[in-house]
Order: sequence, then structure tokens, then C-alpha cells
Amino acid sequence: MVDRRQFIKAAGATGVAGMAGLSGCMGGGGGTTVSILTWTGYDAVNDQVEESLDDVELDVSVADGSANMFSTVNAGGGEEYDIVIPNNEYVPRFIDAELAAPMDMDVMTNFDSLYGTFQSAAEGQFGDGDEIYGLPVQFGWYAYGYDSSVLPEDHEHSYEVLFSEEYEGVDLSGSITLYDGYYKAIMATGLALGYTEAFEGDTVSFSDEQLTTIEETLTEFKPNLLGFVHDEETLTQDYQNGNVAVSYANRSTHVGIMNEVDDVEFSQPAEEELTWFEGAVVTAGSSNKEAAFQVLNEYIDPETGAALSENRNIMNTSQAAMDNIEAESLQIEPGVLEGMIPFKPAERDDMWIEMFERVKNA
Amino acid sequence: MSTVQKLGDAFERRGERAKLALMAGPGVSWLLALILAPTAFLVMVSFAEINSSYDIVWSFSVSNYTELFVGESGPFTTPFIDSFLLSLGIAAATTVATVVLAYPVAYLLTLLSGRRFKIVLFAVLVPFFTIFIVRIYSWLAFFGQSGLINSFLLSLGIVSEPVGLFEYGLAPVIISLTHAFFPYMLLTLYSSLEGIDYGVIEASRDLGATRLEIAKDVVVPLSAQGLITGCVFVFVPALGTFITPQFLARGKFTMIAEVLTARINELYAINYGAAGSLFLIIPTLIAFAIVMRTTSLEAMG
Repeated sequence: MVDRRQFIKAAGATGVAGMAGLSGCMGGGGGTTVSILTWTGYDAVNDQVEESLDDVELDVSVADGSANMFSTVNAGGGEEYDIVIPNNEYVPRFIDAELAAPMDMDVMTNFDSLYGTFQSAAEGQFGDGDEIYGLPVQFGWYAYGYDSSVLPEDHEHSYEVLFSEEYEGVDLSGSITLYDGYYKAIMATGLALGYTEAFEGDTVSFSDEQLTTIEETLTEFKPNLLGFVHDEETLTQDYQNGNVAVSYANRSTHVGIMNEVDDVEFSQPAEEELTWFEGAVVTAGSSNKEAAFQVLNEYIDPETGAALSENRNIMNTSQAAMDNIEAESLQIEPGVLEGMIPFKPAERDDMWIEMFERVKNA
Repeated sequence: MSTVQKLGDAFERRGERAKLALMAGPGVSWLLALILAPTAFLVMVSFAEINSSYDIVWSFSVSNYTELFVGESGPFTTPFIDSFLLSLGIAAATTVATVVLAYPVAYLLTLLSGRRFKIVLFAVLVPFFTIFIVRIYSWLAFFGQSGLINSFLLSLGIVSEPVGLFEYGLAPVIISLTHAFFPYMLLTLYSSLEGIDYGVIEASRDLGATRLEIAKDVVVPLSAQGLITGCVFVFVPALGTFITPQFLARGKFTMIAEVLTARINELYAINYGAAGSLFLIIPTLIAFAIVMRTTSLEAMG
């Protein structure tokens, strides 16, 4: 089988040879270049990391999602990229495919400053035997934001708000948005319906009956939604124009909105928050493993980690880094870390996505 | 003819072929490398499987095509079919709207000359000098319960509550697409109308034809080639549109490009995406076949 992996390896080798030749011509050389495949915003701390580490240069590439990161590394990009930072639910996939290198804990001197929740997550979701293969770097959670001039702050915080035409006497019809993505929208509906046991295993596993009820709930309530939206710019404009009163999306999205619109607040639902964290993996094929682990250690460093969080509007997994952040919108509400429900792969994601497509076209 | 003369002719013909090959070679290579090769890859992937490690497993399976058409409730009940039919409807409505709006403007342009022509053309085209996404954001402000249109109607007391038509959904998508693709229709219609001999219109008027009859029996048939070309230029991109519905439909329905993008981005189902993309090519090929059979290159402007 001449598969995509072989093809990309060959193409990659040609590219690497070309670049090597080019850098030779340009007189480049010296130091170690650590290549990183990640989300937007990481390059904001490149200078800080490079200043802290002698002879290390960073080359940050942005990927179009965790699936894209996995497929790139799996197709041979593990030799091209030293670090990959997908969402946490994808890290076990890297471990299973033997694409992740075990962490060198002697280099990870900042690991102990991680919140206990994330140290446990690293040992659990990112662990295999005695080894840890991933580092939780940054995290956020999903709940709903709301316009406090419409829905008072002291309302009973619950995902039921997302599926109520009227809540505590406030008319919400036509002014609610749900996340435009099958995974998050279905999980939020499941939580609103009280299906918490589905989140207990290694995967999120709703029964057929529960999935049918979730689909019916979403379909029946859809006429009362403003729509399925998750991007910050659109939601900000909607809040400013008074189109939306409640929006289910990422906490970091709402931090951006709260910076622009005074009355917007973020909820803390009784059913707890769905939490994601970015799990940094040093690739098994990396030839710069030690430098790569040093870079990861910097991402959870008290100063660099804080700068990274402030730039991306996303919380750091390091308590020491969070202690250096003053912005009110980036503070972690008490109880969030204790009650968090970490993202896990959907047991039948092809079925989920088709269901979500049916809901949207209903 | 002498042998020397024959040889001379043969060399001349070979020389012509060599020149032609030299001229056409780069273009043909470009087509092979950047159009035919990726399309061939797309066809191959549409029959392949993707395993759990996201590797392509080369095989010959029609399961990707089956998945497009056969749902839980039987054939032609899949979300893909729903989105495909909806996209066809939206593209058709957009095409009709651009025809209705562009015809009078194109006709007006043929009657103008000099500075007036330039001013009208500039006034019509100037919004299209802005970036597409900026125009989408502008449309965002117009629609919604509290959008500019509903607020205006409410403030004048014309309506007592926001009008559903101006909330996010089908109407804003069609209006925005009509606005986006209007120049394609306008310019192809103009190039076609400009070629009409206005003596024919004068003659039909002298013979007692009404304005409607002139439009129906003279202007439209004589500009049919431009009309068909314009329809294809609008219909094809409208069918595969992605950004507009994402913003203005607010996820309340999904057009076909959104379905394929979501499958690829979220599940890495590139085999499903390839099969769906190839199916999407069918109406495009039909549209181009119609143009090729009915229109000359000159009429395309």
C-alpha cells in the first residue's frame, strides 16, 4: 500500500533537504529549532521562551483543529514537528498510535505548580503504565454567557436556561444561541437533560434512547434559538445589537465578549462545566526532545505561562502562572476546578454528527 | 510535386507542430498538474476508506457514496440530500434574483455612454471593491430581531413586532448572495445586450409591439447567450457557498459545503468529503454543458 504517510514522508524529506540546502546558502545554523504545531496565539511568547532557553529557536505553525494535528503527525509529520498541542481528548489517540514520547520529568520542573486537577489528568488521561505522555498547558470550559441586563445575575444557573422560552419570568425566545458544533451542542443538551452518567467512562456514551431524546429536544427547541453560533466577533455584535441574551460557548470566547460588552457575564451551572485542556505532546519522532520538553516547561512557567494566558484569553493549568494574572475576566471562579467534566471522545461521533446535521436541517 | 518540395512541406508542418507544442505545453502541463491530478486523487479517495489512525486505506468501496444517499429511514433521507436540495433551491433563487435585478441595470448601461456610463457602472460596482467578509458583517447588522431593518420598521410603526423574514435564516442568505454575485450577472448581460442591433427594437416598435412584447420577443432571445452564461456564473458559486450561510443562517440550516467541511474538520472524513464534492460537481458540469452547447466564447464576454 503506497499510503499518504509514505507520500508525505517523501515530500517532507525533499522539503527538509531543500530547506537544509537553503539555510546552508543563507549561512544559517547554530542552536536548536523546535517546531510546534498548535493553535493560534502561542507565537506571542516566542521571544520570552527563546530568551529563557539558550540556543533554542521556536518555529510555530497553526493547525486547523486537533484532527488535523493528529493526521499531520500520523502521516509522517512527527519528524517535522517536535511538539503538537491538540485538545486533551486527542492525546490518548497519539499515545495509542505510538506518536508521543514519554515526558522527561527531570526537565519538567514546573509540573508541580500545576493545579492538582491537571496533575491528576496528566497521570490519568495522558498516562500509560508508569509514563506520562502529555502536559496540560492551557484550559477552558464551556457554559453559557448571558446579558445581565436581561437575565439577572442571581438567576438559578443551570443548562435549563438554554432550553427555556421563559426563565424566571424573563422571555428568552429567539435570543439564545448554542455552540455551532455537534460535539459541544450535544453534550450541553445531555447535561441539561441530566445524563451525567454518560460522562463517567473513557468516552462520552449516551444510550440510543438518550440520543433520541437529545435530538428531539434540540429539534423542538430550535425555533426558539437565534441560531448555532460560536465565534467571538459574531456573538459580540449580537450582544451589542441586543439580538442575544444567552449564549453557550467557550469561556475564552466570553472573556473576549466581556471585554467589549459591559453587561455580559459568564455562568456557573449547577450541572458543572465541560472542561477542555490543551495537551502538549513531544512527538516520538522528534530529534530535539530535550529542547522540546524545556519549551513545554516554559509554557507553564509563572511568567511565560501568565503572558501566554493573557494573550490568548485562556487560563493556564499552572496555579503559579494564574497567580500572576490580574485581569478579572481571567480569574477562575471557586469550585470550577473541583466540578469539571473533562472532554472525552464521543463514543459514536459519526452518529452524533449526522444527528446534529438533521437537527440543523429540521 | 517534387521530393524536395514534399520534404520542405513536411519540415514546415513539423515546425508548426513544434511551435504549437511550445505554446500549449506550459498551459497543458499546468492543467495536468493542478486540475487533473488533484481531481484524479479526489476520485480515488472517494472510493477509499479511512481507518481509525486517519490513514487512507486504498480500496474500491462505494460505501462513501452509499452514506451520502442512504440514511436510517431509507434512501434519499440523509442530511446530505436535505442540504443538497436546499443548496440547489438557494442557488436557483439567487440566480433568479440576480437576473431580475441585473437585467434593467444592464439595459440602462447600454443606453448610456461616456461619463454617465462610467458613473453608473462605478456606482454599481464600488461596493464590490470591499472585502467579502466585511460585506457579510455589514449584512449582519441589517438582520435579526433588533437589526436595522426590523428596528426601522418598528420605529415607523409599520409593524408591531419584528418581522420573521428579516431574522437570520433563508432570506438574509439569498439577499446577501444576490448582492455578492450581482456583478457577474450584470457584466455578462451587459456584454450580450450591447451587441444587440437596436434597429431591430425600433422596427418592432414601429410594427406595434408593446414594451413587454419587445422585451419578451426581442431583447431576451437576443441576449439569451449572455443570460445563460450569467446564470452559470451565479448558480455555480452560489451552490457551493460556505461563509454566507455560516454567518447569516446562524446554523439554522446547513448548505452542502458546510456539511462537507464539518465532516472533514471534525471527523477527518476526507473520503466522505471527496464523494460529496464529486457529487457537487455534477450540477456544475451540467451547467457548463448547457453553456457550451448554447453559447459562443464571444457571448461570454
